[in-house]
Amino acid sequence: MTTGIAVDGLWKVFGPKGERLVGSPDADRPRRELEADTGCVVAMRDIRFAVSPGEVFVVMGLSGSGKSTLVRCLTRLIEPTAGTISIGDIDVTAADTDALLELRRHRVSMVFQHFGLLPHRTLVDNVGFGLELRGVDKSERRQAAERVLELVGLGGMGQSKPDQLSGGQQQRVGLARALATDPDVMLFDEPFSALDPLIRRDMQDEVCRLHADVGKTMVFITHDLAEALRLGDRIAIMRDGRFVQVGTPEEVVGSPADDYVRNFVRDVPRSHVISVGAIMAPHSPGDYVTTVVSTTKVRDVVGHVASSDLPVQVVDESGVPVGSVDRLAVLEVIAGDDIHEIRAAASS
Amino acid sequence: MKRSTRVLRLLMVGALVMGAAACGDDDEDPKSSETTTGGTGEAPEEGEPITLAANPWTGSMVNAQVAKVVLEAELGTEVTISEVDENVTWEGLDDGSIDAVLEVWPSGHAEDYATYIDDKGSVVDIGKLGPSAKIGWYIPKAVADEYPALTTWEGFADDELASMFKTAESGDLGQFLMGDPSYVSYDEQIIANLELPLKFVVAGSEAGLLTAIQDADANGTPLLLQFWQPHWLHSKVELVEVELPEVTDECLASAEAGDGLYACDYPVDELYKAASAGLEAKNTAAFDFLSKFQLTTDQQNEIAAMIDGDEMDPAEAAQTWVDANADVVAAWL
Amino acid sequence: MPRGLVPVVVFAIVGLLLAQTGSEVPEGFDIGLTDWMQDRYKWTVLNDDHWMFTRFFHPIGDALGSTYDFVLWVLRALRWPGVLAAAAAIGARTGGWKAAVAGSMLLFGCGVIADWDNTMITLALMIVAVVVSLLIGLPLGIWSARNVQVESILRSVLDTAQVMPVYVYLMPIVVFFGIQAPAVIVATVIFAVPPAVRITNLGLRSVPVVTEEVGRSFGSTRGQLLRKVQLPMARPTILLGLNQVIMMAFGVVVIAALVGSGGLGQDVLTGLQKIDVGKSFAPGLALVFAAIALDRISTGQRTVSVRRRFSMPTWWERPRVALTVLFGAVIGVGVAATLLGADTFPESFTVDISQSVSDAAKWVTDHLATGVPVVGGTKSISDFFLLNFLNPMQEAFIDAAWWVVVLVIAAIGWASGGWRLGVLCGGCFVAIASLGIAADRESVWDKAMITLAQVLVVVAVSVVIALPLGLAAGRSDRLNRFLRPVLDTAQALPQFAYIVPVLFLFPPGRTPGIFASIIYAVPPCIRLTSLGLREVPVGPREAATSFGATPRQEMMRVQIPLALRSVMLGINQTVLMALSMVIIAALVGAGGLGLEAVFGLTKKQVGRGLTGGLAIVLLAIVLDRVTQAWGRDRQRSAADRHR
Repeated sequence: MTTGIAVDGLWKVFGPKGERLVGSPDADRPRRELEADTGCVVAMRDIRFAVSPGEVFVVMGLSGSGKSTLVRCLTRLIEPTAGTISIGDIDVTAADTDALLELRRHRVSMVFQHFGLLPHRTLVDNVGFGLELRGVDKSERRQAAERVLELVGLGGMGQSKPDQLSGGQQQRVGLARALATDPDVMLFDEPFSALDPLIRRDMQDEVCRLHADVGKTMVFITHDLAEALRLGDRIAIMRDGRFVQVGTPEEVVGSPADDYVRNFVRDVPRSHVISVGAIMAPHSPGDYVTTVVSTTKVRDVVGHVASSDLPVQVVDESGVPVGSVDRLAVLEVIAGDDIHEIRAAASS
Repeated sequence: MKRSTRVLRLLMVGALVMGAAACGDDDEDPKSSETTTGGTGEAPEEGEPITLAANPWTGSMVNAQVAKVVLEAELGTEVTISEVDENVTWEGLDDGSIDAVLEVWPSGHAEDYATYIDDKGSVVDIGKLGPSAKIGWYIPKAVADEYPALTTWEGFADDELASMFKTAESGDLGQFLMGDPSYVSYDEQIIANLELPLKFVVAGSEAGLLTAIQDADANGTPLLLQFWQPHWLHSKVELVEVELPEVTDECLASAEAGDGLYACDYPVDELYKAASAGLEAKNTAAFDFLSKFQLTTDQQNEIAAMIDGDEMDPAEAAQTWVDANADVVAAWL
Repeated sequence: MPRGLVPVVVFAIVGLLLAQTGSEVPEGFDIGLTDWMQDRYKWTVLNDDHWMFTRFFHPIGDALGSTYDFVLWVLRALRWPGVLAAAAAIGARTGGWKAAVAGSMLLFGCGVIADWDNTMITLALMIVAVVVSLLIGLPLGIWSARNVQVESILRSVLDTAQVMPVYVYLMPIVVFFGIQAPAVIVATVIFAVPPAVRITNLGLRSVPVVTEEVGRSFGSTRGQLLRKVQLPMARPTILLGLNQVIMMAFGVVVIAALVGSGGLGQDVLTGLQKIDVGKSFAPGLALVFAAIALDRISTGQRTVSVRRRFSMPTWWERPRVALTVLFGAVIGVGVAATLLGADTFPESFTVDISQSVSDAAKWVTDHLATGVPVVGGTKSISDFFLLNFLNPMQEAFIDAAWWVVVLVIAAIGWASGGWRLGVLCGGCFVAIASLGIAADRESVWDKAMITLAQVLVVVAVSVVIALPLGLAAGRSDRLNRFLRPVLDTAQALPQFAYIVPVLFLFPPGRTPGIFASIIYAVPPCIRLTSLGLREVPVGPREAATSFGATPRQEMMRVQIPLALRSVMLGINQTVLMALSMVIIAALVGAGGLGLEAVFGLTKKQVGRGLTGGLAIVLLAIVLDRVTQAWGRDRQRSAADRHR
């Protein structure tokens, strides 16, 4: 079974009497000024979003944007100042201690930035940690732990201690630990930021594979745009405690909400993200070099428009033609900001 | 194995042992736990084991060891000797964890006498030990021989003679050295009231006093100090007592009143024995024996010399002496 | 008014007010603590059938007594081979073969140089005291790690417990809990609990936030978090605390002999009373051995590499089996020893080192005390030192109007750590002034000034000695290796063991006290200075070298500034060590507050002892906080400079 998440009007203000700042105009004052006057820092303001069951929702932002606070508020590791959170049918914000423990033990698990492995425990005992807290007996949780370790490619290493592993392996253990409790929702707090680029890619693949296999709802925090685009069904861009844009990778890259986001996505190879459906011209009968579905990424039609002067026909899922993409449109996507110059050059 | 649980488990075992000990103790006679060692199972008709205090000087150890030898051999009473500070001894007598102490110096324990023997009645006076004790002023024999004037206090009134006793601690005046400051001392008053050009300096402990004596003896340097009889050091180093003005009634009265006018010699102290109030009921034979127990100064010194001079084990020294003095022992029984 | 003037004005006003009282502490200042305490003590002695004692304190005392009896019974029943086997077995479990060998060999050494049964008596006392200290200290440490208020309250209580001389409270403890083992254990626990609490707290607080979050995110309750995450993570730190607890506990052993503990402490004390260096040194050394043995087998110090290199048989990794095997082996050795009649430690193994130590001491005395060419020997050095340094200094402190001293101290506090510290320092000194007149008609204030002068001299000399040595040891591995055991022994030897040797070298008075204190106070300063240098990260040093710094420049500009905090901590420790030696100094003729505290036991003037002890604590608070502030300040300014 999978579960969705709904968050509404979520605020977090650190500092004394933070609740008085919620929704007040003061909250919009510059951070330094506000801190000097009130001793408070607004980490998160009026966040609202929903994650549907099985979706991978990525929150992207630079350090200090409030994304780590957000993911911790979801299970109330940090108490939100205002707002509501529900995970599945559980009202997290209203939950009492027992309900909260129940939620953390059975429904949600988390993967941490610096792995957070317990150095005094073997891998098996690290992975079985959540089950242990739940009260699962020893032999059962060992079996479960071995099985999950196998799943993340660390089979047979159960008796090692964390300090005998490389960083990548350690985070596999972190992943295994989160999987072992068989949660409905998995939270990732910048899990791969401490890893080498190559290993990071590996781990991202691992997450993709796992998502395909187990289909959990995932909330993934990162400061790496490429990672966000790779993993996210939808991406939220966070800045100064606010969501500045929420959308599919395509929407974010294709139509940035403001200059901040535009700046961010400037260097992204847009053709890898944007699908032909987003740039197609209305359908008109004629000759086409080939036919593709509308979700095809632009880069996949580059070869066709390069080898022929004819445009590419675009059809929807059911095969009904919905539009066409010509060479110029493809070049526009690839060239990015300099689109006007291209048009000018083309027309002259 | 996980360390956390081991630490916890160790702690739990510790707690358990403590708890068990505490519970077990409720059923027992609380006194029995305090007679520490012992317990090798003597025949029941023999006397309850007792504990004698030995305070930290040889004479006290001599008394306790001699009494132990006789008590164990003649009365079948097992004796534990507890080496303990003299002030703490009174608290031990009070709660019965110590049954008797055989040498109390009255000068230092007038208040304890009043508190425990007179007021509370938890301790009883079981008579004199025998030796008299005398505190006084002493100088090394070599110095006395060279300057016979210094064998009386008038000699110290002479600035020149007194200044021989100068040290860095005493500045321009001659030094008068006192050992453990907790001991009885009228020396400051005596110096002031006799107008002697001396400065009262505290060595801090008996050990300090003893090293000073040995040093003076070895180097032939002048030294004036408060010392007393009996003490084991007299058998090793020759000291001469300085004559002070005779003890008078006014003098004793000013000591009692604490008016600071004391200006005479120290009175002679009669050493006495004290027992826990419960001893008589607990082991009557031992109580009677200890009440009769007496040693003369010479006898005590003889045994002390075996211990301090010949490096003999105290128990062994006591046994040797008892074997050789059956008639003295018979009088106690 | 400019901000900088405010403190000056405040000082001037307070100074004017205090100056009205005259140069001596006014009599009206006496809060009468001495008499009040003495009356309470008297009441206690006369009313020990009150339910508070019969229902509470006496049963605790009895329980401690019987626990001790039981432990001693076990140790004796195991016979000496069994005890060695037990030490090896426990050591093997906690720290592998190294700890096993170290533990049992050290205990064996105790038997060789001192009396085995007395070692067992001391060991039994210490085991019980250490376990009780942990039973009290760990929960308190956990509590203070969770609650800031508890932490700050406990901190001042623990500081007091650690600085207050045992002499002060030994007599009340005897009245409350009974003589012998119970009193010894309680006194030891009071002294040994502070490091247990402090380091448990520190350990728990240093657990990384992320691991705690991990625990919580998987649904740990507070209890689970503590048991499964925080305590195991804090374990290395807590073990370090255990080491401190053990060392502290052994520090009380000799004083404990005063209340009839027997054991090695009594042997040291007997040697002392007979001024026999050899006789007090051998059991003193055995105490050091026993302390280190207990430390090695309990804290283990297991390293991963040891485990990997020497693969243990498989049953070893199964705790239940391993424990059973070891337990059985220990019992087996004990039974075998009993059957073979190995009841007492064989005399043929023992070595009497007391004579050679005495001879060595005599040689030193003969050659150093007098007759050394030019300087004339330690005795004349002592005289010179007293006349030219200590006397003028002490007189300056005593002659200065008391309010001037208060103001100066407050100013020093203010300059070191801001107005709060200034107020604290001034307040502590006013509190000392309010303690009134001691029984010998001198004021506690004057005695405090005597002690302060001596402590300052000790600290100054110690720092002068320790800094160069520490710097050298920080740079030379060979010197460091040579110094370490020397320093360890100097600190682990019972303080009392210093009394006789220093009396041989110096005439009774303040010099032997100061000398003994210096020996005791120098090691932490050397150690922390050397440690500080060694811990300077490679980065800045490499950077300095790459910019062409000479080794000397690198040392002066990089290493020493970066090591300053550690050095300051060393000075702070030196101050506290010097204060802890005040009692010993008093016993060799230094007078001052130490003597007042001694009276609490030796004259049963409990009130007087407490007053003296309290004054020591107040002095300690001032000196501790000021030196701590130096450490912090320097570091901050260094950091600012780097920015």
